Amino acid sequence: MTDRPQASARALDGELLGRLDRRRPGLLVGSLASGALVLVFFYCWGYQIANGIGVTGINRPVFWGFYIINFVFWIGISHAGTLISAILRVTKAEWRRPVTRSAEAITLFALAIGGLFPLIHLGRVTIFYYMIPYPNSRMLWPNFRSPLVWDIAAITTYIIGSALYLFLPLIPDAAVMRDRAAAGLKKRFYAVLALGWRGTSQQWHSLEWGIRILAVAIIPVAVSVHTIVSWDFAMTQTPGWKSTIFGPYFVVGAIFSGIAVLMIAMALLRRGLALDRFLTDRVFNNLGLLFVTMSLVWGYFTFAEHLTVWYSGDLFEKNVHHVLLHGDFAVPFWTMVVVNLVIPVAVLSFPRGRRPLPTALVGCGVLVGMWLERFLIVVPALSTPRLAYSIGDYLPSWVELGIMIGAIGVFACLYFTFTQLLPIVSVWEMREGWRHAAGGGESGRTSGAAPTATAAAPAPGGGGA
Amino acid sequence: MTRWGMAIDLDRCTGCEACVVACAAENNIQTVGEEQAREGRAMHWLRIERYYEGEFPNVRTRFMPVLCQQCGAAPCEPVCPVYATYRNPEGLNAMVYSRCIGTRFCANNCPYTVRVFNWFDAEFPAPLDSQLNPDVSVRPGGVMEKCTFCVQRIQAGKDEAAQEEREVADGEIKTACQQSCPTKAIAFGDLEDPDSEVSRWAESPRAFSLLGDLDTRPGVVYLSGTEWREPAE
Amino acid sequence: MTAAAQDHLVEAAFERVEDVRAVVEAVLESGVAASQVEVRSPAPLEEDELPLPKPKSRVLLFALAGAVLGGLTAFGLAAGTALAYPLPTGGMSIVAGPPVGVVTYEGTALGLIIMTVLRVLWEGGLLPGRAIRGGRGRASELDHHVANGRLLLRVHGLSEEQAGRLRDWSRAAAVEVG
Repeated sequence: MTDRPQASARALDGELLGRLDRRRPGLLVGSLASGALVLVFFYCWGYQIANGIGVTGINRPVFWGFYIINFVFWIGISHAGTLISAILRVTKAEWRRPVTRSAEAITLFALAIGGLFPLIHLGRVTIFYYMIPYPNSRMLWPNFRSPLVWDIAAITTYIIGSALYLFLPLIPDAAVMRDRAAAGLKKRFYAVLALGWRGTSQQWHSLEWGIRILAVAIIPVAVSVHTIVSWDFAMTQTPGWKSTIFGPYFVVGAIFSGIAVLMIAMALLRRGLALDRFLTDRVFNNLGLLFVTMSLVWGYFTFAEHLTVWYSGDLFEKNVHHVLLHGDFAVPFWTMVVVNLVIPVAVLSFPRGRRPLPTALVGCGVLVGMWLERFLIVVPALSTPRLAYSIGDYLPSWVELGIMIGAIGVFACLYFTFTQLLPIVSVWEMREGWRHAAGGGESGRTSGAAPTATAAAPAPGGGGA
Repeated sequence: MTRWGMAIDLDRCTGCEACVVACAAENNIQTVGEEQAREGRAMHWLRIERYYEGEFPNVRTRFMPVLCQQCGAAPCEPVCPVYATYRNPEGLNAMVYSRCIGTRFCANNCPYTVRVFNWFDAEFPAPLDSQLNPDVSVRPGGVMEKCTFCVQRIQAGKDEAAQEEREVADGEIKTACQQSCPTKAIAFGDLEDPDSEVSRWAESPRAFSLLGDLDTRPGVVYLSGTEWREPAE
Repeated sequence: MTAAAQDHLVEAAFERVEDVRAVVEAVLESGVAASQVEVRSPAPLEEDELPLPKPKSRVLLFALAGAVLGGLTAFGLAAGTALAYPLPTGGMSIVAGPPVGVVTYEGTALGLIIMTVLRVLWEGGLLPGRAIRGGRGRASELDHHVANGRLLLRVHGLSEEQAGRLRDWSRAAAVEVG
């Protein structure tokens, strides 16, 4: 990725493999520490199943609480990977190469957790399969008019799609690990994952076709997933939810929070695995530009949503609006505005702010802000129903808090383990990038002709040649 | 075809809550206790909403019994993923408890907030268990429920009429709340029958639908002589 | 010439594509068919980097077929099941267009994605029980070179004489010859 490609490609190759080979005790400690939170997660869930959903703080009228908030939050984070990596792949942005794998892994794990929350939320989780279309004894099928069934369709598609989208480019790297491992359990593990990959030209050709198609196909799926999640709210009559902007608003919010996690993960990876040469400053700069763009779009959507409600003067809508901006929820609301809009724009507008540490810190703030956003969508609308007699409030119980914190642990545990076992930077894609950079005019043609991703700088391959 | 409906004369309602008690007794509604009630988990299918008008000492209290409106275009129905709530041919929004998995989506989409949820398994410690109505199932925890228009009484009335080979007469079937109302503020019957008491009440110039702007086409009609401001403040 | 004499396999690992190209050109000139030549690389090669026929792929075709299949299945589920067990809806439509559209959309994408991956694995001989003909997908002693970023040239079905010649050509530039 530098000016001396031919000479340094070999050295870079060796360095990358060396980084991936090295044992990282920190990762193991991370896995174990977060493993403890996994126990918290399952303890709390088990406690809830044994005692009833009433161990939560939800009530009438706030029938949905932390579980739905966290569901939306995690599904949002899942948009880090697949969507961003697919957009970068489709636009042939060269700087994607070190990013895609870590992003796609975030997607899969966040999605697995996000997909659990609607189940945790059910009153009777033991019969959750009533929602799945299968020919049961009475031949009564699910109600396909319910947005929850759309959710199942969308999330199933997305989780299978992103698992395969992570797996397909991983096959050649699993083969690398297999062929470099000494005979034993490790080698057999990688051999299973590599499926007998040898790197023949036919295999590469088919794989490239596959990745190309998946990258295009996964973008509309990702957009549809968060749109449908938003429709769980927007399809209702509930004041504060019934809004046409929710679809795109959720998609933007999802990408925004997704980039936040990606920034944090990449800063940690760069530091923890000493990957400075691969996750370069340029990568952080480009992602930082994308990040601040999403912050501005998010701010615009938020403004548009609340302006229309405020101006309409609709009595019930204004009640919700009032508790949000001036009432019980004003503190979280304005906190959200600060961490999601004011701080990101103030920091990321400057090149010095788009370095690993500041972007990661901004990312932490945005995560808090986007969680608050989901909280502010779910709770105020429900606690302010049309018939004022039923106005209520909501405080989570320890079970809900435990599951929420535990879920973070599950995610961390999966991510640490994945990083330990498999190359978190795609080896073959880096090699391909070095080849392009070394190829001079020939590859300069390919990458130079490629449009660059959103606000990103031109691809280094084109610039270098 | 029958469309079961109810008319409630607010000018007659004294807010005595006899209907609330009768409803709980008839329908085996769980008593959740003080602590749960404080958390907003009381399970009344029928509640008396109280609104105060005027400044002290010239205060006037208005009462409004609110129960499931048995909407003709019910927002709760299409959102249920498992058809646990659906519209039966006689105009009732029926609940199939055994299918309910507890997503609580229906309750969120109910503009009247009349659906209640079993947060825990129901407990009827002795001697309460002796007064359970054998015609009504006891709902397990994790299941949504709401006013059924005393569907068990409707069924019994229809069975009896069928055995005697006649039509159900108007006023023959009484819901528990109606039966217990000391001021006779509630009428129940077939809205499709123009001569029924409930239809005649519904024709009254005093009649209105709760949150009528939403066009949910409720099966419950309210009557009030004074202009009823929608209680949103 | 008997068949037994034609079963020699020569493998050679190279550092640079240019060296592989030179050897492949010589091999093809000596009368060996392009179908006998197999190149394993650590990353995809450009089309014109080696004088070998471009591999063919039908992934796109299968992807589209999968999309149609998935879409039809989802459409059948969403619309068909509602008609098979029509519940009273109180005047609302039993089969509503937009929900059927949403479910069909997701089914189309799912079918496309699954078929794409299955076809990629099939073409690459990566599915259990499906090997590529001619031992192309077999493990080699020299595979570790590919893992470490080098190229591996394998030429199948050579006579002893051809094999010997190829080994000589390769020795000049190759990292290892087997």
